[in-house]
Amino acid sequence: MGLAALAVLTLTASFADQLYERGDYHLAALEYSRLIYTRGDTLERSSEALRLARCWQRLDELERSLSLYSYLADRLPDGDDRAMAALGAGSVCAEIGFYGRSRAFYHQAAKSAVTEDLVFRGQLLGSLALLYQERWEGSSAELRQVAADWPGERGRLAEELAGMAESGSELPYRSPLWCGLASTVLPGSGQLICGHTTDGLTALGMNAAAGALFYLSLDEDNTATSILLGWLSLSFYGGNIYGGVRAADYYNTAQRRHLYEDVRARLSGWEE
Amino acid sequence: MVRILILLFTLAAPPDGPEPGRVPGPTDALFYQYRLVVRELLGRKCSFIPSCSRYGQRAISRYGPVLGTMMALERWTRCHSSARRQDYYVPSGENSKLLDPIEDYGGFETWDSLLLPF
Repeated sequence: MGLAALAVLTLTASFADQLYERGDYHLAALEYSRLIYTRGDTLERSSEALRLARCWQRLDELERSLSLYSYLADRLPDGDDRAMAALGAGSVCAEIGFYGRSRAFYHQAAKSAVTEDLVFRGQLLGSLALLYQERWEGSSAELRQVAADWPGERGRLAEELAGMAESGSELPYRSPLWCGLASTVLPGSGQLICGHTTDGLTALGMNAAAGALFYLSLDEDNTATSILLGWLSLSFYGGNIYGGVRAADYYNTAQRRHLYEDVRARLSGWEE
Repeated sequence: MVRILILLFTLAAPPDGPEPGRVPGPTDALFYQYRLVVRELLGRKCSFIPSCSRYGQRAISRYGPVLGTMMALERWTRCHSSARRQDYYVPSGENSKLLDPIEDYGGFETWDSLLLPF
């Protein structure tokens, strides 16, 4: 009887895993929740709990996912399960944008892991977390240290990523302050500096048109129209300055995004 | 008369307001009227998500009428046919529209979950 019950439980566990492998994360999450609920304490079923947190992460339920990962990372004894929970918590923090917290979780993972693979993953992700904060040199130096510590394929990966991180400091940059100032002096010029030609010319044209109409209404002593057009001209002018700043932000973000996509492409192709 | 008109416009405002938890005001009613009538007449041509009217509505609701109007006009000057050819915007995947929220948006996917071993 006991063996039969165990067989059923084993089958249900594999059913949840099958749902997970098929990508049906919603159903898999329900099944993992049921398993944890019926089979005992969360900490005793850490592998199911990790999968449950991962399902929530994939379903974009990031708060629930982080809460479960953090609970496991805090309560489990040192070992691979705890390291995996810390890696999961770090990845959710990175998705939310808490990069400092994410880095702390990766350090915790590297410290508590037993197997070499998890130690390496923790160290690598911890070093790469600095990239999100645009700390290119720091990330590059840490990755080179990781490359020196790990021989073979792991070392080569870390070395290659260190090169990518180093190239981050040479990315083209446009100062939002200077672009804003340029747009203040000549409407649309901040956008033009960032290569946003159509936006810049449109801003210049709209400001010129609104300004000209305002001038004409003043010339004709039309008070009501002057007030309306004055407000419109000022709004266009202020929007144009904001547009210069925003163009610089867009420019810098696009440059970083290309680098991040390269890093992601390199990591997605990495299999030991 | 003006008060009655404002009241009617306010009553016609969408119940959810510009953002969840915010009470709709007269400006929201104007944007709602625009979306209900003018946009339908002109056809939906905005290149962005959120659309220019929703962006303007949120900007005014969040930053007040002065800064909000500036931001809305700035977005309006960027909304042209060639915007879809610019690589600094991130495509949303929906009808080839471009993501351009009010908040800073990195537009990149993190790599961390690629290295999760479970």
